[in-house]
Amino acid sequence: MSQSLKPYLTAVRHTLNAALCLENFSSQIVERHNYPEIENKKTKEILLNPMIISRNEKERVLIEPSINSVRVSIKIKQSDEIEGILVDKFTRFLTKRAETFFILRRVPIEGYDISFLITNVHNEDMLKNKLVDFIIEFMEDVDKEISEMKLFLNARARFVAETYLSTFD
Amino acid sequence: MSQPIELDLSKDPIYDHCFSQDRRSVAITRANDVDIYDLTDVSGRPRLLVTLKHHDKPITALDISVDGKIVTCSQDRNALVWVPQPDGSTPKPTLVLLRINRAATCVKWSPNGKKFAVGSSARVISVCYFEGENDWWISKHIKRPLKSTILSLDWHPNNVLLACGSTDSHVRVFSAYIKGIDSKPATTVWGERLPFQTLCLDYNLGSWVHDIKFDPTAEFIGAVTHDASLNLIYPGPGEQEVAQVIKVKTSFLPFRSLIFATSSRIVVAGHDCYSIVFEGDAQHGWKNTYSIDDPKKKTRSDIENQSALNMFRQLDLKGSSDSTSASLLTVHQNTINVLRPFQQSTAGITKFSTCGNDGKVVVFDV
Amino acid sequence: MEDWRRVDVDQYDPEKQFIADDLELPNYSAQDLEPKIQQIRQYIGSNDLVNALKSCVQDPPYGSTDIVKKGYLLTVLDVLNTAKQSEVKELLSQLSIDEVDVLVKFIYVLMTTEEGQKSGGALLGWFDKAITVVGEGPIVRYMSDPYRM
Repeated sequence: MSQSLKPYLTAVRHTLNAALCLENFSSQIVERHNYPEIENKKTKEILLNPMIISRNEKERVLIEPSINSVRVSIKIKQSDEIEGILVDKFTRFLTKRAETFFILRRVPIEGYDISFLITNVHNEDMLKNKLVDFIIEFMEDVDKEISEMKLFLNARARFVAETYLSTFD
Repeated sequence: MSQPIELDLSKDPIYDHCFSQDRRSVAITRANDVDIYDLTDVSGRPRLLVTLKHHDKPITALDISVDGKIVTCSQDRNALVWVPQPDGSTPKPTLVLLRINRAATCVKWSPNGKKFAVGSSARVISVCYFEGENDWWISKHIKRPLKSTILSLDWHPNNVLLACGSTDSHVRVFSAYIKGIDSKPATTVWGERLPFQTLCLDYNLGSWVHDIKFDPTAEFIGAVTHDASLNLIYPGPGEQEVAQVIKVKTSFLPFRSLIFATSSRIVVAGHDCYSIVFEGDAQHGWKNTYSIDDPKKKTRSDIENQSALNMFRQLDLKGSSDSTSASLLTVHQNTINVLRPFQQSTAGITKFSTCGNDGKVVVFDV
Repeated sequence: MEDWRRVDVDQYDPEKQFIADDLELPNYSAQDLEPKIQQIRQYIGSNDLVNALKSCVQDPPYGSTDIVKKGYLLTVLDVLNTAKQSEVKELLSQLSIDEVDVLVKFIYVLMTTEEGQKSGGALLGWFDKAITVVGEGPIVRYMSDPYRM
């Protein structure tokens, strides 16, 4: 793990740990409804201050806590166009299968590549440390995955070019 | 110190629990129902006595009065009083007309069991009492100056004063005096003349107030807020005057509940999954002295002996034999929601019970 | 009006509005803060970082305009950037729990600004050490803090 990745992930881990203090909370606005307050944002007093943790200009995490839900949005590092395309494809692959991931949001928040929505129900059914571990692991792996895919893509392009050009040899 | 008594009762989170006065049975909330367990069964295991079904949304709180009546309140905007039947059959429910149009969030019997108060998301506290003439429970509303959802309530021992904490970060003390039910209360530090809805104290703590309690002498109140702090509010001699506020900041996660073991000792618990004790007084301040069921004092091997079976189970579940973050070292595996006194001696509370999102009810020594 | 179903009628009902308490925050102008910022710069110049930090976290301009706040935050960023990562722990141990709370708040706010993101590594180093020194309390308190920068 690179030197600057570790403090970044620890900061996210601690912030998530503090943000995931949720309770069952029924809507103050709509009768007999109970929805993630962070998605609605109509009741101001039960939203908490959002937090952005940034490693540099290209990589950051937005954590928006509220009384019964937390929204976590991740901006994945994209240093060139190929990485941009790969991230787009990768996140689209995941969000299409959002229902099997439980906490994955179908549409990311604007300015971010992928978003998670954790509600008090998830927090009650699953262990909190496991949820936090999952997100941290995801952040670790996604960088690795993208750079691996990029290497693979480049290697393949090189191979194709070589084979193609060898006919003109 | 004896081992904590652990009752693993439910797969669903338990939002509130209450033991019967004789401590022989316990009532817990389980989604839309209340389960009552008998704890005196010969097998030594809790035995499900009865399930109270009537609500159609999750039950948020319950309480048992001195004479054994159970009150439940739910997100379906209703409260029910369940009166135990002499023949021991299922208690009979009576619907209470709360006249609220949002979820009911918390409920507490007054110490003498003649009234109860229900807090709600409708920014109203309903103070309910039984009207013998019509044979029903009716309610009076406390409205002003509540600005947001009520999260917690507590009665003064004189059955008249009512403390509440809410998401607008205020703690307030009201008079819930009802003519014909209550006798005129004696003058206390909280005020002299107390018609219904008199505001006796109002203070902004700067963060959601999860729980609030009068101390055993009823001279001051303690409250836990979402900024991981314990707050103590001492009233002054003037009207609505606050003489002193002590805010004890901690490095824990927010607390959900508190109880006074004595006037100088408080037990709190919440998102850290174990209980923490504070001791002190108005002059010397309050500080965190020790923890109950402290995970820092335990080691992994205490609970999970590294058996071959365990190793293969880990391999099967996660593809690695590493079990470091498999479970928490505390008895509770998830947030503790409510603390309640369990056993009392002349020196104060000696045992208390907790319930949590992991579906457990546990009794600890203070 | 075409889209009348989407009109939020609750916003016209004064009963349904949540009005937060007035915290009576001091509204400092840029001039008011000038001597304090000069003082902090002097501390940085003489490498007296403990005092620089202490004056940063004391009486921050919560009630001021965004531009004034930004100017103040950039001064804080200078202080944080001046310290070597090896000294951070030592510096933090000389602050009280309230002072660390404010400092963590500054770090969070700085990470939302462009300047702060450029020196993300240093800020994360500070954050990491602050949490090891005092635990997760400051994060919890930042979330529900009504005093915002």
